[in-house]
Amino acid sequence: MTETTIPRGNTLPRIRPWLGIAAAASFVVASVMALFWAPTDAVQGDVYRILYVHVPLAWLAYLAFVIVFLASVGWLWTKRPFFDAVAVASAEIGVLFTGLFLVAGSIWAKPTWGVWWTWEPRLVTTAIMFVMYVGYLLLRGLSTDFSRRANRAAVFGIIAVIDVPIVHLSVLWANSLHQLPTVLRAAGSPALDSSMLLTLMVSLFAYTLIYTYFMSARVSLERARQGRLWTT
Amino acid sequence: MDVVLALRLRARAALVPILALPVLVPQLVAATRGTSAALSGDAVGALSWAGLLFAFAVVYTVIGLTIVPAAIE
Repeated sequence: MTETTIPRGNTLPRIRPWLGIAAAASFVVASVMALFWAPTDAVQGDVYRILYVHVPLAWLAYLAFVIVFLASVGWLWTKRPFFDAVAVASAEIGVLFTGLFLVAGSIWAKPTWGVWWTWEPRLVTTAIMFVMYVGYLLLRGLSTDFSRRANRAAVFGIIAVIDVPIVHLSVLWANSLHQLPTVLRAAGSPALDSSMLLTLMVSLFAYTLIYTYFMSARVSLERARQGRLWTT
Repeated sequence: MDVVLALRLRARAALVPILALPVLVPQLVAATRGTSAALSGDAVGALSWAGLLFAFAVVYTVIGLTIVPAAIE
């Protein structure tokens, strides 16, 4: 074959180190802001500072899975291997962030609600979402045929994103029709101070950069793998 | 080699519940809650859960018809 080089060509590998530096720097800035600059919460004290980790992780988990969905649609539509690489990269990073999100939430729940875990709609939904994308990754591990694997994964990637809001709705209804979560009422969401909001925005930005950096590294790894394993 | 194959097969069988559970959870919740509402004479509750079940059915049928052909081609 003449075209043995895989069509990787773009500027991503060249800007990646800079992306990494930017991600690390903004993470440091966000952490300093979250730990020292942002004021202490009147109700929760310093414990609330985990918000600056928890909320960005939640945002990234959802972002990652929406990107899995878009990449899955892209693969089914165009059959370009690039989309499959994006899907698997985003799913892996999404599972990582969802796991950390659950752990951070649990650590936050203990001092504020008094329990590590409660069967509250959002928690149940997140746990199910986590299981779903672990299943997605397992599903990918089963097939050795590239396009069959990509097809199956794409179908599941689409169903998963549609299913997450449905799960949330059903669990929310199940709770609201019978009992209201009393523990969670008390915690509520206090109105955010403007410096708190700014810190949160910087954290969101930093974590999104980290996601972008991970994505660029993981996607080119997957592209290289595709080039070695599937183009013969 | 056989061991690898057996592992593969077992993994495949184990994957079904893992993949099915998240998709079945809403139906399970709606069916159980709807039934208990119906049995306790709560007509509004039972009907609204039945409506939710119907909505799931519509959504999954539409998704199924659009993307499952891609999975089995």
